Amino acid sequence: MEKAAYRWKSIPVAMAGIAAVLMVPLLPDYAVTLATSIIIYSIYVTSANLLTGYTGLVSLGQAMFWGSGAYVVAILTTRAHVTNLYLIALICLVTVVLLSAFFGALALRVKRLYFMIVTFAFGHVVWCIAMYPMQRITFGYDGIKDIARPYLGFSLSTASGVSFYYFVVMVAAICFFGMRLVINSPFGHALVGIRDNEHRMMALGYNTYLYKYISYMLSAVIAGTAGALFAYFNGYVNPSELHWLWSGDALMMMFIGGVGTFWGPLWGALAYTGLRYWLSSYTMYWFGIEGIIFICVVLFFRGGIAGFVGNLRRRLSGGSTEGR
Amino acid sequence: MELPVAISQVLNGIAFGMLLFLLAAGLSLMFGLMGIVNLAHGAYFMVGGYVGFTTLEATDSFLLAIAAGGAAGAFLGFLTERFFMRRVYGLHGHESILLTFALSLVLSDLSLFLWTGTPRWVQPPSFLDMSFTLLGNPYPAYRLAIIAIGTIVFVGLYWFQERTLWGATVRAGVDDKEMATGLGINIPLVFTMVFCLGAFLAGFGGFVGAPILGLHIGLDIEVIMLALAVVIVGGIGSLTGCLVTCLLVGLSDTLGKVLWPSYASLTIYLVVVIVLLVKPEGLFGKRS
Repeated sequence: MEKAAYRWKSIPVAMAGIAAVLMVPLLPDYAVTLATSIIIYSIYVTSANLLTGYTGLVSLGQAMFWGSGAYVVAILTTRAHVTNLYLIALICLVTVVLLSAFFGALALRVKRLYFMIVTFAFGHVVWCIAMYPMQRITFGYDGIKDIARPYLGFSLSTASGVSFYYFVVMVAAICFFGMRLVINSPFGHALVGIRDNEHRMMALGYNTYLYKYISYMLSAVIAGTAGALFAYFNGYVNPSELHWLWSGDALMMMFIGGVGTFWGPLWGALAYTGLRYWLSSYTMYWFGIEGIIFICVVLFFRGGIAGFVGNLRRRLSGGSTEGR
Repeated sequence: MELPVAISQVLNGIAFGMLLFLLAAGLSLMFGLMGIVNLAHGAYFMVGGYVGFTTLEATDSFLLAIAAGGAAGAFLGFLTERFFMRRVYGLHGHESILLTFALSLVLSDLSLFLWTGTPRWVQPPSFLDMSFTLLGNPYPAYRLAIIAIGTIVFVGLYWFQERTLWGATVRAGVDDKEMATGLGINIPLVFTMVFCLGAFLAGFGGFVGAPILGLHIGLDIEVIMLALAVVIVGGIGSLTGCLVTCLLVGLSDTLGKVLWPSYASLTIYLVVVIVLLVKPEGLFGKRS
């Protein structure tokens, strides 16, 4: 009963959310650009959330997949002159799946903190490979510029900011819907079980390694999608997309937004990008401020924004907050 | 590569390995005792170097500057442990990494604010500012001094850990915290002391290393990445293992830079990957 009532109540909220997202292009150009980047980041953070929030694996190597998605798009469009978006998407998918299948198999041999350090080391190896041995293709520190916006076929162009925004919203909707399907499926429930108590899941007969492996690859695909979108959005790709600091940023946005909550990544990306945009016009010490915010989140608001809002809503609706 | 050049490169590698040891000894001890990875450790190294630099400018005494660098590191370590880490022990474990990562961002920007982005160089003290002749090639005395300092620190730590009551207390804490507490050992105090000791060594190393590494923003991340590699490759548990791994990493980094300049930063991480595949608990780690 309560759940049904909650469902009905959430319909106006959802409508308002959808309306807000669709009406963003009425705002000035810079706001559309900002909103586009926020949505792309929220897809990226969702990938980290699937891995950390739902599977319990903290990876410091998500930028590897984001960056490879971005670089595949950049290289294919500027060097190989491939214009077919669907072909590019397919090649991106194959690249990211192969990369994650390889590194996931290695990284999942170790657990907890080691997993974090190992994914970090892998990310660094990939960064180095892209920088030096593949310098001819990736142009090293210079990065690749002049990436044209994609052509969707059916005479749909995304050259303008607004049309690209709608394209990103569409891809994000697919990603979020897919994510919802995954976490509500038996597979998703098994992941949460592994996060909470891996030994128990093993005792129940689950092949936890396989579950974690698939989760790792899924999260890589989501991160790669976000990276590919970013390459189109930015028109320029540079090595920082592969750098582990960007993996750290994914974790930051996730923790600020709320780990293991469905909309947390969106809140996190919104807060992070908005703050950065606002603060960077006042100070060059953005990283330090980011650090301070993050320390506060880890120490005092471990539920992040989503947890905070959830508590507030429960309190406002007069429900008991006990036992939470 | 000619022999004299090769020898001096090997010595460079050993000196760099000794600096890494100053950093990684504390990191691996903290990892073993508290189960945390302190990403702010590189920041102690850098801030220690900067504080030493300022002290040297003010007092013109190299020894005082070294002490100031170490003290700055120990102070930061004390603050980190007492006011931040205490709140996240016993949680999942990734909180500590995220918290120390955030701390290192703050410390790095604080250093940028205090010491600006200009790279600083420190001259070795006058009594070491000369060179020996090795097989006809001059070799700076200061690097030999670093090797000596590293050796002395290693011996001192070894003695501390194996021969003193304090060392026995720390070892007891590493092996079994509950049992140690049951025997009346004040584990929170041991945690703080170990943190301070590790951070002291890092800050100390930061200034000792300044004449050869220089001081610049971003140094913290460069060294912490290598120290993390050391902790993974060496595994936790033995001080000797830590030293050997540091020397290996220092040598492979230095020689890598000479032999394959463009692949240098790759070699170490390939070693990390291989070690994890073959022996996930590290070369010298105990299987748990």
